Amino acid sequence: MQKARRLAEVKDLLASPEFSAWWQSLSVARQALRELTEQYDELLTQAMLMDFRAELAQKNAIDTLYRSGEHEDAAAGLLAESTELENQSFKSVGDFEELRFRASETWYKLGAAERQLEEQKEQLQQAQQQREKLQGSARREADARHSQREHELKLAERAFRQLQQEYERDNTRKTRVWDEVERIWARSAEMSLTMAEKKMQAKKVRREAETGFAQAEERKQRAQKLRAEAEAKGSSREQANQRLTEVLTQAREQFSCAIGDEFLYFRERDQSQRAFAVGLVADSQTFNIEVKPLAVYHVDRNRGVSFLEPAVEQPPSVEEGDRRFEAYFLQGRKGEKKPAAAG
Amino acid sequence: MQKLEVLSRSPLFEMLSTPELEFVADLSRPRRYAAGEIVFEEGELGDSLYVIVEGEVEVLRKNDSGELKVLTGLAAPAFFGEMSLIDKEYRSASVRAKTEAVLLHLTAENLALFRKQYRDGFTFLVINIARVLSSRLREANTRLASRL
Repeated sequence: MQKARRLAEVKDLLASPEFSAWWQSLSVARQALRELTEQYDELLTQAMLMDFRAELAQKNAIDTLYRSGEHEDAAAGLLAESTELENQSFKSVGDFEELRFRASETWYKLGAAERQLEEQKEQLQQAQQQREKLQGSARREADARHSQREHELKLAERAFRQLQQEYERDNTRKTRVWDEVERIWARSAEMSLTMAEKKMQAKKVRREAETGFAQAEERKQRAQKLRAEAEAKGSSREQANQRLTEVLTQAREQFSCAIGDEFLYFRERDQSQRAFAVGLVADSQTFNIEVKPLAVYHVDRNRGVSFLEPAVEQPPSVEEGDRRFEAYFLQGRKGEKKPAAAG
Repeated sequence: MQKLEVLSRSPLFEMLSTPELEFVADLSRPRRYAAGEIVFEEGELGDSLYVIVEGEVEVLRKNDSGELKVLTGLAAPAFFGEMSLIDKEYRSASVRAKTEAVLLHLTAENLALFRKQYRDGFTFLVINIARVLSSRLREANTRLASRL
């Protein structure tokens, strides 16, 4: 049963050694709870953060692994392309060899044709010299032979020119095919070199991914450890909370008051609808006035701490108020004489 | 922060006794403002006044083209916001923290509590507000007279 008190009694109680001891216990219990709550929150935050970092590391490792696969695919693509170019180059080398053989053949033929042409030129010259020495029917036969030789020379010259053109054509094609072979070889070499680099990159990136997976695993374990520590701290916090409740409950029994989380309440003597609330916290924001620890407030039963009034012993006497009014209105302001012209 | 010391220096609480000042100190709530932060704006409904504890504030008002113009600056232990508290009109100007500032906030409800507990003290508080308003009116009259 709560005991009704006057304000002076409440203030006496607050000043008593018993209350001071209780207040000390409450402060210790609150401080312990506050510290444990902070530690618990910190550990839980760290555990959550570590979980998140583990997930992030895992995701990055997976992405890295994909990247390694991309490098491997690129290397395989380059290998296939390089092989195809190699095969293409074999065919082109075959074409070149064939053209080279044909050009050599034509070259020999051209040499033979040239020799034949020279011989026929000499024969025509001899036939002409012989013809000039002859008369009559012998001359006519010589003319006919000469004409024959001229005809044969023209044929030989035409054959020579054709061979010459054929040789030039074959030679040009041969050079072009060789250029193509060299281009394919260069491209194939480039592919091979790039492929080797891609393979090495794939290896390197795979190693990075493996490191990432290891890091993710390590972080998961750290998060588990932190979570276990947080749970242990949570149990300690729960005990501290129970201790705080015990201390507050003790106040109800020891001081015959009602208890809240932030106030103690004492029934006010001769005022059944009112009570005294003693602040247990400092709070300048929540209530209608600033609440200070161990300050005493008036509250009514209906509104409670939603409307606090500072509790004061006694209002000043009427006489004191009167004296101030006299001083203000009758004795002039601040001891100065009233100026004559002032309104 | 020693509220009592601040309040005892303020012209708003001149002539109040120590218990009255202590009571007002208990009623007032400290408010902290960053530089540039608005305390209240012109046109708002106001039922409270502020006493400057630390820092400076500036009183601003919109001109015809809507631009904010600084009317004056105030520093501790000046007070402001009393006009709307008395005439129950909308705020006649905006107030903005010029520097980081700490203010004590007193609402009409707080003053009603003060009146309930200390009637004479409350009367002096109203007299002090009237004195300040009277002083401003005199100043305005002087300025007006110099332009006539």
